[in-house]
Amino acid sequence: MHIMEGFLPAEHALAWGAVSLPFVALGLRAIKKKVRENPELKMLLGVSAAFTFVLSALKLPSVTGSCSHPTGTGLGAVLFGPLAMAPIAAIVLLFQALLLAHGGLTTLGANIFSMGIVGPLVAYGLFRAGRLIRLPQGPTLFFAATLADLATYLTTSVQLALAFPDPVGGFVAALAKFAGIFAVTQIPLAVSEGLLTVLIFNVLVKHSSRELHDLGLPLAREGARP
Amino acid sequence: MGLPVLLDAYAYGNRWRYLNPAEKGLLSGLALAAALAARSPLAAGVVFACMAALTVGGARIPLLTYLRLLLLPAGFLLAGVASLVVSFGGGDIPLGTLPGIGLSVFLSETGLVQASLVLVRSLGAVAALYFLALTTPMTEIIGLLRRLRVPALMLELMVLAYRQVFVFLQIAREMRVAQASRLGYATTGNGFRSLATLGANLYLRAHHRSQLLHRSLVCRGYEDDLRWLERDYPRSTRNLLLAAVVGGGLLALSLLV
Repeated sequence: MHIMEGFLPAEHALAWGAVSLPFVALGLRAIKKKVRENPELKMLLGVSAAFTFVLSALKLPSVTGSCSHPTGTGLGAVLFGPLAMAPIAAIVLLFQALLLAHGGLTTLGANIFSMGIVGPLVAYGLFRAGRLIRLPQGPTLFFAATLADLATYLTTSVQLALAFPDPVGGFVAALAKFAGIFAVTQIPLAVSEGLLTVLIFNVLVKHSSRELHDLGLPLAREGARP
Repeated sequence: MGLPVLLDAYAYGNRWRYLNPAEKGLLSGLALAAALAARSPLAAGVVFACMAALTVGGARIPLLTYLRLLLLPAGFLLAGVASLVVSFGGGDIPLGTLPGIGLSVFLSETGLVQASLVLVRSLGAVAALYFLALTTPMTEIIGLLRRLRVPALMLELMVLAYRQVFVFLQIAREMRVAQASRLGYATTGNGFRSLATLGANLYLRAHHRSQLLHRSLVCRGYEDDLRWLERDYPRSTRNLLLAAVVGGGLLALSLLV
């Protein structure tokens, strides 16, 4: 979920920018190191940012009937790793602000934190943990992607509640209000995105394990193609 | 899906396309700061009116298109502002009780004051963002970011991504039409399956394209650095001064009123 342009007060916008900046810098450093070993990776990451942007511009058939857009957070985190996702998310969010009028420049920091840092960390952590204890790949991916979306939406609600505490109930009441109102769209979205991520992965694993192997992923059915 | 193409087309085809991007960036940045700094709805409203007038009157973006674009964030804005206005369990104006849960809903006066400021402030900031998005192509914005010392790797990724966005949008649209004409989106289940195939295919195309891109760059002597020429823009002291005065004026108004 994107916070729109201008919604956060100046101090909060600046603070979230300051929180997100080190993660983006760290991600860039990690990418730089990997690119030195494998120069093709730079193209792959640039093109992947475009892929994530286009994925987010597609309409998702939602389980409840209302339409929404996938975030690509879970898929990206599992494909490219959580560190690389912060700079990619920064690019995608900037493009979304300028080309889709979705999100904004002043809220870029806050949105990078929820969608480029918290979401990918949750997705990647859960996916790795699930693989480690040998859970089947499908359900693991579903929960990783769904819970990543939910974590993103809760982070956004926390950001909004911190900026606008309730005059009576304070932070907790405000959090309940924001989380409650946006739950209507965000919970179906999370489930839809989880399903979509699993389905996309199934197709990818079936037909292109070599491409996935380039990314160094520990996936089942490796080498299905010569 | 047509939205990115629409905004991009206006960025390339408005009346202020060939003004120096630094001037437009400065004005937009100052207006954004002014909107955020506003402490009264009046100041934020002035930012909105000023930036909207410049976009429609100056850059000649059609009014109807502009109004339609303004509606895009309406969903978030309404939901967000509604959360600010209502409070549960205590407030100034009782509205009623939620059936089933037994929570009483109130309107709070501080909430109303805050909500009106946030509403107008967001609109002002959106107008400032739209000004930049509708007058300045992404390549020029990337050029501005370079002057702001954003790391080269980040800029290279942006340049690569920007070009591919439109390639992929086209591919995605064609795949979607092909799927829809075979009833691929007739039911929700079909829709999910179709979208998954579309996404996976798009990813494969992306992967393939990145390899082609790398090879073609290597053929042209690529050595880990992408270099490109930027268009030369006329430097107009008058325009720069105007941008600084208008933007600075808005910021001063926000800080004072």
